[in-house]
Amino acid sequence: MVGIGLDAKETLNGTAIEVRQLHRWFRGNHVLRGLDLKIREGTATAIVGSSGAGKSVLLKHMIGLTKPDSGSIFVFGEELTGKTGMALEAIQRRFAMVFQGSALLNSLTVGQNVGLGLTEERRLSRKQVDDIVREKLALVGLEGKESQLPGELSGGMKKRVGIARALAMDPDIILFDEPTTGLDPVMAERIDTLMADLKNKLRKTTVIVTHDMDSAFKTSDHIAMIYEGKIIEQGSPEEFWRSTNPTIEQFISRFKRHGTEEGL
Amino acid sequence: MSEPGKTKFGRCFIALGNGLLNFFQTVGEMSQLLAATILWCRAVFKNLDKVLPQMGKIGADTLPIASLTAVFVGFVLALQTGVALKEFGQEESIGAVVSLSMARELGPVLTAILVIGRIGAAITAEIATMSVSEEIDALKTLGINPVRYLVMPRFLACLTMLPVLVIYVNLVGMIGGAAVSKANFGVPFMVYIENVEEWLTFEDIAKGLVKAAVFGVIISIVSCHRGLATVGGPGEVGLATTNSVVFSFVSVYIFNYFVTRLWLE
Repeated sequence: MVGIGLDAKETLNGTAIEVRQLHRWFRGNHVLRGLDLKIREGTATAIVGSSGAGKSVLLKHMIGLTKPDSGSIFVFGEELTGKTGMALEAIQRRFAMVFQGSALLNSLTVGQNVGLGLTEERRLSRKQVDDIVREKLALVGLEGKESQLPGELSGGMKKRVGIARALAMDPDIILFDEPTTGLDPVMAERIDTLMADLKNKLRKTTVIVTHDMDSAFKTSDHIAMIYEGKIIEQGSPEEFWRSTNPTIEQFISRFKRHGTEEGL
Repeated sequence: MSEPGKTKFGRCFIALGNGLLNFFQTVGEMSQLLAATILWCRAVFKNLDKVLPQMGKIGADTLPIASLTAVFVGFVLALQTGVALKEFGQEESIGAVVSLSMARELGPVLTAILVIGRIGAAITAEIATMSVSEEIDALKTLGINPVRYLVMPRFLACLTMLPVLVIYVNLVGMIGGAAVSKANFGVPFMVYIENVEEWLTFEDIAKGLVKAAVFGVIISIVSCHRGLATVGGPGEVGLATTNSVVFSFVSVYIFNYFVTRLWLE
């Protein structure tokens, strides 16, 4: 099991995101307390922790949506913290994020939502954008839904549109914020399969914030746990399963009781 | 010696200080947003697909209520001034009073109030809903600047449509005034129009239009800022909308007073 310390031999090569000594306060609440984390390129990393532990806050720091009080974030070796305007947008273009509530623009159709980033970039023709939209919607199993409005879709379908929108931008890194929360088991399984495919087939770097341990074990090859504003432990799913850290044991005990080690 | 926060005076002092700090922070943020919006106006021709619908929306949403308000304000102005002027045998001067009142003050201020209620509130509610449902964050992650995508089109639409609406409101108000002058005081239309032509100058109309354009800037920036600054849940959307409407009203009244005073000196 890898502890809090980072592998000294590891260089920036192969590291997609590196978080160093991140601190963040919210209204007197010290949410992130000197958090360190490395995300390797081409891997799927699940960040787990209880509600309010700061998982989503960490994710928003990684993509530059929130600024830290102190600490640094590097994306492919380039420092993100302190960057604004065009420089920040250039780094943000390497990311895509799938939001917990999907965050689809309700005034736009599914097709317009998926193609929004490409349309606004104005690099591709209308036909090229439409082709990409069709391809990405097919990838998430939503062929022919281009003209529907987000209000006409179920929660699971909205999540899949959110994933299609993220994929349309062809990002290097995809961040998932609670991708299976609020979904029925069948739909959650489908989203898990999609995320696993992104890593296995498309070789995308993915970061998945979740407290759904089933999803974390199925989709990731690295799990890190946030507790009291820090990463208290990280490692492969197998190492995580066998951890003797009492906090982790307590966190996954319910899952252990209901599940088996099958597939780990 | 007791701590400042434990006495009644101390608590009031701290609350006042916090209020002032919040006010100046908000004004500072709005100034920054205005500067960023003006910079993004360079991309107007690439974003006409967003600007033109906003302009159409302001016109279509405001026109019916603007017509109703303007015509009745014209009626009342003519009625009130007509009664007073009749005592001096000056009913033919109703046209001057109505047209000058509409062009200098009532046209721009009434239109601003209508647009704040119809459009400003809707802008804040829409953007605040987008903020709390992470749609603004989603735009950023797609490499779309929210100021370019959301604020700039609304800013340009308000800036251009407010003066257009004011011209319309002035015209309808004057027609309303003419109708009451004829019906209640027997002033012929031609006499009313000649009186308006004699007294109403291009400068009066232009000053009203400049005021309207500035009101458009105030309404769009305040409405967009309150929407973008909204955090929390859906409950915050209503609060943000109320704040936006109140802030816009107060800003318009204050600006109107000082500009009018400046122009009269």
